[in-house]
Amino acid sequence: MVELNPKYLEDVPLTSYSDNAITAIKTGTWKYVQPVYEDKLPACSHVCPAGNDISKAMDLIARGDVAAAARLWRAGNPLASTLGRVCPHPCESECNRRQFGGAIAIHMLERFLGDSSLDESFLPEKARPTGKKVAVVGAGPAGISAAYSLALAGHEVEVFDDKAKPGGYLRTGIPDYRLPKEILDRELALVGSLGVRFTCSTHVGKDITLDDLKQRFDAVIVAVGFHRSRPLAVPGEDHPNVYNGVMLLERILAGERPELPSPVAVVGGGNTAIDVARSLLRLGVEPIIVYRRSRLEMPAIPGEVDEAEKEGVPFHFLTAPSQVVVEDGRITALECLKMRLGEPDESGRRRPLPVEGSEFRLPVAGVVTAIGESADLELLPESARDGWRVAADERFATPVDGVFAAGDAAFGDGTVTAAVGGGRRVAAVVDRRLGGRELPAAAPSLQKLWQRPVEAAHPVYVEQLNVAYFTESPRPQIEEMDAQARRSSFDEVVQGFTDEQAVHEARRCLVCGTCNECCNCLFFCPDVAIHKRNGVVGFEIDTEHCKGCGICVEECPRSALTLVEVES
Amino acid sequence: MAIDTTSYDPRNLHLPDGEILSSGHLACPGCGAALGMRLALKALGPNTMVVIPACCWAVINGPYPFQALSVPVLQVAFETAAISASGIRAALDAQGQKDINVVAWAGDGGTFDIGFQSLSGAVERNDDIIYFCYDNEAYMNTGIQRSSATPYGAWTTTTPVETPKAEPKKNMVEIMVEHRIPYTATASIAFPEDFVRKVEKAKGIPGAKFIHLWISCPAGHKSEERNSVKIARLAVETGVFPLYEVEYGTRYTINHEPAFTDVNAYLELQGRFRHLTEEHVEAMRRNLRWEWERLRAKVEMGRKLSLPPTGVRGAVDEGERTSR
Ligand SMILES: Cc1ncc(C[n+]2csc(CCOP(=O)(O)OP(=O)(O)O)c2C)c(N)n1
Ligand code: SF4
Ligand code: SF4
Ligand SMILES: [Mg+2]
Repeated sequence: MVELNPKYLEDVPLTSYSDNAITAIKTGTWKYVQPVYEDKLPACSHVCPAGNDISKAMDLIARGDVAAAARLWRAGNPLASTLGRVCPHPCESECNRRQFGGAIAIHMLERFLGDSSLDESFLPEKARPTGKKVAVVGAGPAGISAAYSLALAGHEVEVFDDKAKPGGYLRTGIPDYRLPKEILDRELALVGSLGVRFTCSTHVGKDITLDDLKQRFDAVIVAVGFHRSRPLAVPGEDHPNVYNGVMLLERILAGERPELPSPVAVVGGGNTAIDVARSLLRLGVEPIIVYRRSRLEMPAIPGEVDEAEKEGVPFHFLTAPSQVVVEDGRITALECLKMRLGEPDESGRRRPLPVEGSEFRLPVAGVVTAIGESADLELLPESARDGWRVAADERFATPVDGVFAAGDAAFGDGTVTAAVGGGRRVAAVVDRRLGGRELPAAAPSLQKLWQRPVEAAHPVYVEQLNVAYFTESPRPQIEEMDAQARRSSFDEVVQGFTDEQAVHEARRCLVCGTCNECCNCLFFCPDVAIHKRNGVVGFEIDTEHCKGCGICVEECPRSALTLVEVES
Repeated sequence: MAIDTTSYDPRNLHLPDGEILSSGHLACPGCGAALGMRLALKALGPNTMVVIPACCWAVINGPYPFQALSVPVLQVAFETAAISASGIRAALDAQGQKDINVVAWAGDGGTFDIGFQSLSGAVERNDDIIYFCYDNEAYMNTGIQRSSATPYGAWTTTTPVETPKAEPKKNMVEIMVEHRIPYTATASIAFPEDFVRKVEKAKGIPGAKFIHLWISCPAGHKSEERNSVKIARLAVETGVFPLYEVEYGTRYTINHEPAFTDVNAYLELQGRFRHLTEEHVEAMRRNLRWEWERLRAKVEMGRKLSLPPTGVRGAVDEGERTSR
């Protein structure tokens, strides 16, 4: 054993000792940029005309909290079940999952959420009564949506409609095989449960004037939609076997089973044409769709065109009627001209041009016109009209003080979804007005109306994702009734998701732009400066030690973090 | 509702929660070596002693009286990481403390070059240590000088752009494999689960273990700090840095089949490669194919070979395996 000289022991410790309180060194002062958690608008919601908060809802379903997801969805959207069925789902065309197994079936999940929340317990809490009264003219999707948001804001709302029941186009224009009316009725009942009064069979402009409404209410919203079928303007059109498509559909939807000759030419390329054709098929009448442009230019929802085709509806594209041929008092044919496509017109679609000498006769016994609709604006003074539409500005305000407008009659977007979104936005403007505040320069964007803040200036596309973390997962098959069986039934064609299917599908969602606690930031930080927050979703950054390297921002799969400059 | 919510987990990474590295350490922003240490210690746990020779990590750990690791750290001379770890192991064994992980944590300079003989000695004796080489491919702490781990074509202060490094990187893993030690593995900070699994596996194997960890170095690679994990991932996905492990110098396993993304994706994020011409890059591609051919041949060969016989150096009886 070596003896140590005690002299040394006094002066020097045998081992130098370090403790680990190195956290006292505030390395956070080194940085000039800093990561912050910032939820962003995903590509899907960016294009959802109804303004649905898709990513957050998907994350909630994925976690099994369907109720919370449904409440979130219904926060500003009274027609979730309906939209899930009838919306052409532009969201899915933008979905970032497209490249990794196929878009999320968002519309199916919207339908699932809607159908899971058809009772009042899922509605948001109503604000305290404001004592203000709003009249809504038109109980279609825009009117229903506006009424819903305004009622939630505490206003007293009365909705006027000339039809016997509320629903507008949803009731008179969308067949049951796409939208069962029980569903619509239940969603209307939800709106009713908020105290919204529906005054039906009352035609504003005839039974009661706009001035009456202006007297009785603090604000009026005109949301009358498109109802009038435009004429073909060809000889023979006045024959009794030439039917107005909108009215025919309305009769069929009301349960009538009109006796029609067969076959019938259905003229048009929009949703009305497709819906009429598919309904006639179910009544045993043979429809033939005649459209003057090609399939690409059809304004109808492409999926619905596919379904019509599957059910066996024949199409004549690039064909325009020139005369209804009547012999011995009966229609024997529709004389048509072949068309070719020229340069694009104002609508951006290629203009159809007749091919000279190409007349031919399509043997039919009847004709349905479905070449577009226009609004009935008689209730409005001249000053509040702008040609075919209501004159409304970016704030949804008309030139008449206190009168606002939304939906197709004002903007002609042509989808139920856009009408619902417009209803939400006009409600926000009217609410502001009723609160005595200045009107904004433009109505707030739909995301501004969300419950949570999101950065909406830069929607999250695939380029913003870190795709190293995503693997392929296939889009599920959506169950449909057999195409043959459909030809004799008005039952719903598409079957909804089960709970398991919904959760499985929601788990495919990449939750673009919103933190779902994937833990990448937590584990990749070289400075151990990210910590789990107790009891809430998400993490927090220890800014005293974060050096601002930005690895978390780069490795976040979904762009839920942003690097910002540190204010000095 | 019959939804199984318990199985839902949005996590991309499943790693141990414990932290032994603490905030406040002195690594540069975006340092891969700091992240590497953090992950290694998650797997090693608190029952660990760490030997650090001269290298960036000797600085990162902090100035006296601070230190960033909440386990004992011994800082030693540049060339002595392995032998110091061997010494600690011998001392602990003499005290009967067999359940402590003894770890050497050295840079590429301290491993491939100056610490090489000491390392070779330790593994030749099959000393029961885990030797980590965190490889940033140059002597970074002293200002980015070339090491034998610097890859072909790279700029360093001693291989300027006019005459970038002409030689390919030394294959340290194969040198360790040829010592026939029980466990040799490569790892990457971009594949933390693979890394943690390898460290946990190494903990359970008596004898010498060598883990070669590729890390990014924003200062030395002239890369953006935020790209540190991304570049490490591309090193693997381009095939530049294969993830594999070798047991008893014989059995090879490739742990991640790369996407074989073109090597440019990896090079273009690093300023140290900015001067390269298409000929250089083509030469790299040829070399990559050749290296992969060799690696796959070794995997094949290993399948046909038996493990070394029990009782001979490098081979260990099953019963001797302990778990820490
Ligand atoms: C014997 C000796 N020679 C030189 C040095 C100076 N020195 C300290 S760290 C270092 C570079 C270490 O390089 P590497 O091992 O790759 O680790 P890195 O700094 O890159 O992390 C050098 C040369 C020293 N400390 N001791
Ligand atoms: S309303 Fe339409 S666009 Fe919006 S989420 Fe539903 S399906 Fe998608
Ligand atoms: S993956 Fe999810 S959040 Fe991302 S675009 Fe698709 S539905 Fe929206
Ligand atoms: Mg080095």
